[in-house]
Order: sequence, then structure tokens, then C-alpha cells
Amino acid sequence: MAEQDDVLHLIDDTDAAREEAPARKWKIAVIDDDHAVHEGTRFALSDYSLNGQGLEILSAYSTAEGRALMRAHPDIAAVLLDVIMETDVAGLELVEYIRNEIRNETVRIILRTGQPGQAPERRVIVQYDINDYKAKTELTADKLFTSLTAALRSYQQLERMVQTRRGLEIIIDAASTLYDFRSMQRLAEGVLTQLASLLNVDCAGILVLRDDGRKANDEFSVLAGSGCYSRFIGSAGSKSLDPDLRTMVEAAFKRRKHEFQDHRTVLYVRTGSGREVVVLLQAERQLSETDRSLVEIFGSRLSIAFDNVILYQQLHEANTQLEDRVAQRTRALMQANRRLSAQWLRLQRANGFKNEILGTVAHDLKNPLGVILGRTEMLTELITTSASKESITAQIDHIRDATRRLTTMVDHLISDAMADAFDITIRREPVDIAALVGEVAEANQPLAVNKQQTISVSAPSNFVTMCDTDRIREAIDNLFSNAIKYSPIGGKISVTVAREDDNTVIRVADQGQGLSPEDLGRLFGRFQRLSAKPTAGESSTGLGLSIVKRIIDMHGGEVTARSDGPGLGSTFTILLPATE
Amino acid sequence: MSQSQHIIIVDDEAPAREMVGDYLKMHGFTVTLCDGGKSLRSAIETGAPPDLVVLDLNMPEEDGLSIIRDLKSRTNVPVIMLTATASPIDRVVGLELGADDYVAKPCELRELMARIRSVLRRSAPAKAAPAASEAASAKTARDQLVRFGT
Repeated sequence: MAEQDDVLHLIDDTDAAREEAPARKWKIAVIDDDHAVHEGTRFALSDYSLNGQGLEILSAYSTAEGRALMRAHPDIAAVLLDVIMETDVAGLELVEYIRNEIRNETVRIILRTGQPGQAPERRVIVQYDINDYKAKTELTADKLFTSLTAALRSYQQLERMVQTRRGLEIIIDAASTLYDFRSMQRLAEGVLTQLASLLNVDCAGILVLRDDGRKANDEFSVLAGSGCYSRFIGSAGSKSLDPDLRTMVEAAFKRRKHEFQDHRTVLYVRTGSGREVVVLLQAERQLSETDRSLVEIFGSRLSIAFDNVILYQQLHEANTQLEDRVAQRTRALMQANRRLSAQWLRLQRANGFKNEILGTVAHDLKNPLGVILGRTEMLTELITTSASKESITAQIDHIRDATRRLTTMVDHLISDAMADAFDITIRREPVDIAALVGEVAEANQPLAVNKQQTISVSAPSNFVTMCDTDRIREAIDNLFSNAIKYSPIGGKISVTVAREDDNTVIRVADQGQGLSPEDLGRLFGRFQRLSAKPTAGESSTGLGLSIVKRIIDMHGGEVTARSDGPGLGSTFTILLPATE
Repeated sequence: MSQSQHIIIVDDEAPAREMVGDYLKMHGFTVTLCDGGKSLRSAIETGAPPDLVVLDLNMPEEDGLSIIRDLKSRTNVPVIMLTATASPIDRVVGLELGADDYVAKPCELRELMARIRSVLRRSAPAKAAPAASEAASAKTARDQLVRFGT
């Protein structure tokens, strides 16, 4: 294939004459061992001009020279080639060399021979893409003119096709590149680069994007710029551009069409999503028709590429949001899980306790009850039969005995079951109390949010105390959940952690119904129901505070409650003594 | 037939067996109290032969059902089981092992009495000669009427 630059120049110059177009010439070669033929040809073609271009005639006088010439000038448009030189087929061998070895498929070949009637085989003409076959006698200007003009036109068309194919190849390659861009800026840069390579010319370009032209403020932003336009990169708004550049861009948005003008090309692209892109190119030379069609084809692909980036960005954004939400949900779930496991522990205790009591009630309590039942029946009978006072008293004694046994049994039962339920062991380790309180607060957050309550925690960081993490977490969780349970909707729960005289003090204050003096006395007992009621119908086992007390007792600490009276909220304080 | 029918009460809970014993004595029965299978066997071997056994099924050492099996393999003395309300399967097994009736605990004493009488009525003819049986049961009924003071 011919060297591209030259080809392009040739093509350009075929367009209507332009004053600044350099005086280019058609390059043709005469290869003949007869000097006279060279002279004759030069003479015959001395005035030749096609599309305003004259000829540059190169000469070679042997097959070897011919080869060298063809190798050195791949942009030769046509060659007038003598068939018979060193041998009868020297010319044909040169054709073979041109087409097959240096693979010049565009140069037009006109074979000439001094011996009319010695026409080359048809096979050769077809196989080697020979354009014409002339006798050397036909050296008149007219005949040569006709033949050469046909060859040059043919060459011109071939070059256009080659150029178009190259352009299309670039466009196709560009498509896959442009669709890979993930950001607008990169895509815009890519577009300018690809356009420059498509036109194969140095050009300065600028690409601006307007998000939605239907909006009142039709501000655009410069996504990419090259050459003299690179200084505008990243500027937003039309004011940052030079006045005439701005006028051109604004005109393009208004016109909504491509525009080709001298050295300037303005592409207008409207994407499916309503965004508008204007590409302004200032090329070093005028663009040919072929260039324009290629640029238009390229432009028609751009809308998809831009929408592609927009969709990708939207997808990416949606993905990020989704990931955030998943992370958020996961956190919430983990909190809920932690809370649930703490609750599960508590419920398991309460449940074990109840099972124990139920089981015993079913078996052991039945006997004394049966005795009481039977004795009362006998008593009734004795009374109706007017039996002796002694026998009646005896029955009553039996009933009393049974009742006493029953009472003792119930007492034992409860304390046994209680001992099981409170079978708590403590394993001390250094615990960051502030972090633990924070964790419990977070775990209780969903419940508080449900009741529009706010939890505020004030705790110094890195507050380490020796205690049993799980138990203390359970105790704090108990206080938290009580505070939430008994605080009104929208109430405020404040928790503070402090060190006081080497003791660790955790205070949980609520704005609930508070505690009556009677409540304060029995607060930490088992199965105590206080005057206050949960504010959202929550259930309670009646064991919570007694478990808190048990846990804190096991730590050698104390838990206290304070309230200024009903309706004034209450404050629960856990005090953990410093351990050696 | 002796003046007073002899009933053995087997229950590991002293207050319970005493209460049933007191009640049966009130109604003219001769009563022996046993706290389990062992003392029941020795009572049967050494004491007066019982007319009926009231047996608690739920006992810690030897359970009532195995006592029934053992008892029925040696004698056909009628047995009334005292069972927990919640264990129908024990009642079924007990009846199949040869027990004659059951009363759920805690029981109405009058129901227990009625069932004891019912079982005794049914078992009396088997023990006595056919000719004497009617007279015996008539006499029993009369005794009972007298005892109830009606």
C-alpha cells in the first residue's frame, strides 16, 4: 500500500482549486530502455494537467532501475512500462515485482511495446491489474492523454477507497476503545485522539458537553481539549471560553448539525439521554469529502459511546449506593443479632426458671394439694354427720400440716430454681467499658428509634476495667432496654461512663415514669412489677433487674436506682470497684 | 366374710396414704398402709389377706405397674390404681396388667369410695360360693346403708 501522507495530499488536491494549496503534481514513471521514448513521452505530456495538477515524470532505463524507482516512490500514480527490455518479458517481470513483491496495488500500469501484435497474454493483464496496453507508436499527445487520464482517475478512486477503508478501520477500532471508557473526560480525550488519527493530520480540538439543553441555564463544560484548546480543559461554563470560540460552540448547539468550514470542522452529537456534545476541530489542512464522510460516520457512533459512559456511571453509582445499603443493613442486622443473643440468654434463663417451677408444680405440689382436697372432703362429711369435735380438729390439723408443707415446698422450689437461673460465673478480663457501652447503645438503637427516642452516650475513650464482658454487657443491656421500655415516645436516654475514686461508674438516666418509694425498696427483687408500665406495651419477665443485681454483686460492685419520684425519670447506676 | 373388709393402701407419700386410710376407716374398712412394693408384699405374706389394694402408680422406688404385674401373678386381689391425670397410657397398661379400676389423683374421696365398692361388688361373687354370694352382697349393701346412717 502506498505511503499514507502522500496519498492524502494527493486526494486533498483533487478538490476544487484552493489558493493556498501547494503546487502538487501527479507522479508518473516512464520505464523504458529506449531514451527516445522517454523524450517523446515528456514532450507529449509537457502540457498535461488534471484537476489543476501537472505531472512529475520520473524515468528508469532498465528493469533494475525500474525496480529501484518503484521501491523509492510508492506514491507513483501511474507507470508507462516497456514490455521488452533486457528480455522479451522484462516488463512483465517488473509488473510481477510491483504487484507481488513490493505489493503496490494502487499504481496504474500502462504497458507499451515496440512490436505491435506482441500483446501480452490476457492472463497477465487480468492477473497483474494492467490498465492499458499501447504500441509505442501511439505516442501522440492525444492518445497518451486519454490513456493517462483514465489511469490517473482510476488511481484517484483507488486511493479514496484505500483511505476510506483505513478511516473505517480506525472508526471500528475506535468503537471498541471508546466504549471502554468509564469516565466522560477519558472518553472525550479518546474522541479527540481518534479524530486526529482518523484525519491523519495535526489538529487542535475541543469537546464540550451540555447535560440538558432543554434546561434554562444552558451551561456546558469543556471535557477535553488538544493543541491550542488544551488550556480550556475542565472549565465550566461558556464564559471561560474565548468570545469567538464561544460563539462557534453556541452556534453549534443552536444549529444541531455538523458543520465543515475551511479548516474547521464542528461536530454536533445528541445522545439518547438528551446530552449534547460539540466537537470543534481546527485541522492544518482542508478536509476532503472522504474525510468529512468519515468524520460524520465517526460522529454518529459517538452518541452511543457517551450514553454508554453515562449508563456506566449511573450503574456504578447505583452499585455504590447498593453496597452502602448492604453494608448499612448488615451493620443493623449484626446489631440486632447481638441484641437478640443477649435477649436469648436472658429469655433462656427465665424460661429455664419457669420450666423448673412448672415441672415441680406438676409433680411435687400435687400431693399436698390432693391431701388438702381429701381432708376438706372428709371434714365436710364429718361435719354433716355431726362427728366429734376431736375428729374434726384432727382433720383441720392435717390440712394445716399439708398447707405448711406446701408453703415450704414452694419456697424451696423458688430458691432452687432461682439458684439455677442465677448460676452465673464471672471471668474477669480487661474490658474497654466505653466501647462496650457504645456497642450496647448501638445494639439498642433500633428499639430506641422505633420509639423516636435518642440515646446519648458520654464515655471517655480507652476506659479499661476488669470485668466479665458478656455479663457486664448483659447488665448494661438490661438497663438500656429498661430505659427504652419505660421512657415515653421521643424521650431522651443519657448514659455516662466515668471513673470515680477508682471505681467505674455507669449511669443510665431516662425520662420515664420514675419510681415510687415503694418501687425503690423492692426494685432488685425477683418478679417485682413496679408501678411504672412499659410505654409501648413491651413485655417483661420481672427478672431483669434482679439479674443485673446478681451480676454486679458477683463483681463486688453495686447497682442502685434513684428517682425524684413518679414522672421524674430514674437513674440506674452501676458501680464496679477497681480490682488489683 | 369378715365383719370389716380389709384394704391395703400403697403410697410413698405418708400424708396421702394416711388421708385415704383415715377416710376408709371412717367408712368402716380395716386399713393397712404401705409405703411401697416391699412393704405391700410383706403385708400380704404376714398380715390378713386384703379384699382390695389401692395402689399409687407414681412411686420412686418400685413403680406401680410392676407392682401390679407381680401382685397379679400371685393373687387375684382386686387393685384400684391412683394415677396422674396426665398419663392415660399408664392407666391403659395398668388395666391390661390386671388392675380393676383407676382413680385420677388428686381424687375425690367419694369417687374413690364408690369405685372401691364397685370393684368389691364385682369381685365378691368370684370369691364366695354362688349360693352365699347373693346373701353376702345383700348383707354388704345393708351394712353400707347402716354405716352411712341412712
